[in-house]
Amino acid sequence: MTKIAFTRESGSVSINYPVSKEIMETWRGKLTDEEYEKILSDKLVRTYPQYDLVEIEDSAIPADDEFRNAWKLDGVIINYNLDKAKAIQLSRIRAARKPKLAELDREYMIEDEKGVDGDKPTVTAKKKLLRDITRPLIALVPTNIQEIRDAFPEILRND
Amino acid sequence: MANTAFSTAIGGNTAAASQAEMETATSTSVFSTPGLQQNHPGHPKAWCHFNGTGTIAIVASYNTSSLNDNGAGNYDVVWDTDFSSANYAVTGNAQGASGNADLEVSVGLEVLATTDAQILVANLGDGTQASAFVDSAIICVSAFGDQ
Repeated sequence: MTKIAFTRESGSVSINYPVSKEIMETWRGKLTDEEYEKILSDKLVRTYPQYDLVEIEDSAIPADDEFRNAWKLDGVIINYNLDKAKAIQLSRIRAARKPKLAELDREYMIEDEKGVDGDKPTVTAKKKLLRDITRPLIALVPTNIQEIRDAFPEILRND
Repeated sequence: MANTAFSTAIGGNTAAASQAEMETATSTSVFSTPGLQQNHPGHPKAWCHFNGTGTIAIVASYNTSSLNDNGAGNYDVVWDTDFSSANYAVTGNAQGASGNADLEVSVGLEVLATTDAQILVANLGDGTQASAFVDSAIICVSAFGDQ
């Protein structure tokens, strides 16, 4: 099977998924395969004249959507814009870190209220670890999507 | 064969409304027929129920020829018959996204064109999770206006 794909002004990739012939026939009446294909292609050409519509194989579309907004169309293959993918992963790390930092802020206050018995340095060290947790990915110059995927810290994964 | 009670109720006139009469929507002496009833201005002109996750797919629809997957929570709904202008209305709703099922989602409108409408699906966030554009397994859209 094939799909129509195109790159928008923003650089994002759109992939077209047509209605089935059976559903279209509920309002258009009986159609031949040729009529159905022509209706779909005429409509796309008329709707998106500003774009270069490309026919791609289903196998050229990544199997997962994890970095969907980083997809880019290279000829008839969908690859990843690694800069965008890195930014997406950094954003996910920061989002996952946020509640943990808030929890450590709470722990710090508790230790602070203990006075001299409080263990603020331990909490401070944990907070520093979290603050620095994006550094490896920031420093990474990725050559493939898997490196970015693997850069998500284990301690931030959902329990 | 005309139904006598129906014929009497509409003053003995059993004429079917033309498309123009359906679009004008003022006559009380003609009746609508299945093939033209969608021309009434109060009638939805298109609707679509689709799965917006993974390989997106139209589950059921009327007058929707295809969808574009533009990215996370970002879709074009392409009408089969165009609207006569971009002055039409689109409504939509969606199921809470997988992995964030406890978060309410909102369907927003990005672009209205005579040929298609671009919609965005976003979760609304809560105290711990930020709002974000998300795919949803059930997205429903309908459109009203002149074609």
